[in-house]
Amino acid sequence: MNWSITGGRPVYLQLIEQMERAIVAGEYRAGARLPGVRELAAEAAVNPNTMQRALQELEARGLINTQRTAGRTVTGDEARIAQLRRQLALRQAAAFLSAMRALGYEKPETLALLEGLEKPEPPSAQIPDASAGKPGAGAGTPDLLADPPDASVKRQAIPSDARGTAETMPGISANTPNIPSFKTGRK
Amino acid sequence: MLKNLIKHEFRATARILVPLFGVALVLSGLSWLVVRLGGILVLPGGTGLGSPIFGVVAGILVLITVFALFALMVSAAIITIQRFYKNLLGDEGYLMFTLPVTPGQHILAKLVAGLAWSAAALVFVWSAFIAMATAIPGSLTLSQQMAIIDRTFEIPAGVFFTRTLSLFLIGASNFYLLAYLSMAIGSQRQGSRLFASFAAYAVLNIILMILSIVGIFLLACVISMLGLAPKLVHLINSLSAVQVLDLTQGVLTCVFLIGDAVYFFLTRAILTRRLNLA
Amino acid sequence: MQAVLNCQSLTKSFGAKTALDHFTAQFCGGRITGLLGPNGSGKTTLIKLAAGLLTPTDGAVSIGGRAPDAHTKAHVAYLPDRMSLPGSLQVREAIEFFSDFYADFSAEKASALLSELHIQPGDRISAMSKGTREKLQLALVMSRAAELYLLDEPIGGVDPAARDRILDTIIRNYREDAALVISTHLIGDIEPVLDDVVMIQNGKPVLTGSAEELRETHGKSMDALFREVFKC
Repeated sequence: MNWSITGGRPVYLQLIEQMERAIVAGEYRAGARLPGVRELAAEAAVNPNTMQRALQELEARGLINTQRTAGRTVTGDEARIAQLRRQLALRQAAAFLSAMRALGYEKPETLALLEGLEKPEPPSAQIPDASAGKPGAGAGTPDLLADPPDASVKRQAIPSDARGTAETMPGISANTPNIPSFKTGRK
Repeated sequence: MLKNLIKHEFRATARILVPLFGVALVLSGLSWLVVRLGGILVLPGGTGLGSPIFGVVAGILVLITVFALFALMVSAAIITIQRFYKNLLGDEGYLMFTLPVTPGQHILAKLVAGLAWSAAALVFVWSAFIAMATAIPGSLTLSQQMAIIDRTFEIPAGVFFTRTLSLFLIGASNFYLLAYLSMAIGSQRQGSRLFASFAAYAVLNIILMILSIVGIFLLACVISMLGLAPKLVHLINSLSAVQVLDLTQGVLTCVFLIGDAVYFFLTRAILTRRLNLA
Repeated sequence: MQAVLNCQSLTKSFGAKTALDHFTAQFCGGRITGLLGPNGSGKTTLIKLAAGLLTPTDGAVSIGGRAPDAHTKAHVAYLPDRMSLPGSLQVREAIEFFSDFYADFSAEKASALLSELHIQPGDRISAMSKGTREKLQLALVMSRAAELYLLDEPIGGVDPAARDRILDTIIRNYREDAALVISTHLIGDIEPVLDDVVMIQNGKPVLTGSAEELRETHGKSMDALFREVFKC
């Protein structure tokens, strides 16, 4: 489990977030025993009191059970974990949409963009490695956020109230469902 | 705790001193053997045991042995003093002075170990000399030597050695404690602590000398003022050799013990209240 | 909560220089406190006073209500900012030394810890690298179940990987209800480990409180706050 605790935000909140993600990702399986507070705190390089606080909160959220003799275990309730998964997914989606909005892509445009991405191309030598920084990105999926190296495709500043279909979107209109490699430019 | 301190003191100092004792033992043994066999064999050509050349070689060996024995005594003293400086006033002091032990216990532990090694060295040297003396063919045997001591000092030889040893140890303790005090004073300086320690030692000795002179002078004044001089002279004349010896030993012991106490308490005060590790 | 380490208007001067200036603070059991400040701010002086290696010029320092003496030292685990173990010792002899003098020292724990750190019982201290020696000293100190741990710059001067190891060792091994005082100028690494913070400058406390509260109040990390407070 890779912990990544940064300054500036309350530590216990970060711990809760990262543990929830770990549970959803299956790193801590349903019903599995958790290491002791000290052990977890040492792994995460945080104060055991803080880790204790995070674990108590997770218990309050029903994600962890504490037994007197057996210590702490992840909940065996698969439904609860599924609920958490959905919660986290929704949160992630909302954050994504909000980030896209900041780029000027409203929901329809965003959806269209995503539609176009349904069939990932097999990786070619031209496609830049896009997986850095994008969780869940498969190899071969072009980085949506990288500027196309083809200088003729200019991303104009789009007023946020502009509504358009995929056809009128500059840079997108020439795209066919087969995603062209950005490096080779549009067809 | 004190026992543990002493145990670790011995361990740390034995590392260096035991090999030195070993070397001295080997040399002494060789010398003894060489001297013993001196008159036994003469080979053609004037060499071999008993010849003049052999005598020279034997003489040099004995000289080296004597030197080694002397070095042994001196080493015991140097190691004891250096141990105090390094272990208490250097970086190791950070470990030692955070042990659950009082500064007084530190001083005592080092003193006890130092005295033990000095006593061992003295006894070793005596034994070596006596052994060498008996090794010379035709010389006095052990019991004969002891008998001479008996007659000269009018006390059994065993008692003589014991009393000499105890006087030696009390004198040694005086020497060590004064050295400890000097180093404690020297540590008060931020830099050149070693130099400051030597300077403190010199100054303390000068003070002691002045005190002794003044003290004796005052004593003489008091004696003459009270007209005790004739009585004292008569008293001393009436004493036997043994009684003079006893008196001397008694006076020296008292003086040394007072000095020991003063140095100890002063050193302890400095290490408790004015500890100043580098 | 009863303070394990109590400093009341603690002052220490070396001649004309005042290293600690009427310093008042309490360090409570079960909490990890970071003593943060630039070099020469008085951190080491404070720790030495608590360890009984210095006597105050004015004010008082007490451990469990007592001035530092042989009794308090039995319950205080001190890690100096330098190597203090005799070089001629082997690791096993160092363990024996600690066992002899500290009732709260666990030789088993120390041995286990040292083998994790790849330090063998037969290794001689004088033959070790600086980093290994520091790890040895730390392992011995953390194998004590003390009431107060005073760690003077445990992660200064070591590479980042060693820093992680050291923090890991500290977190895993200190006695739960003990007060832990860690002095350092490397805030970033240590920040998530701290319960409380005491920022010290020129011998005076400039900012104290719980790390969490300070982050909220000032809206920035300890690291950023430190840079702000100690701007040159």
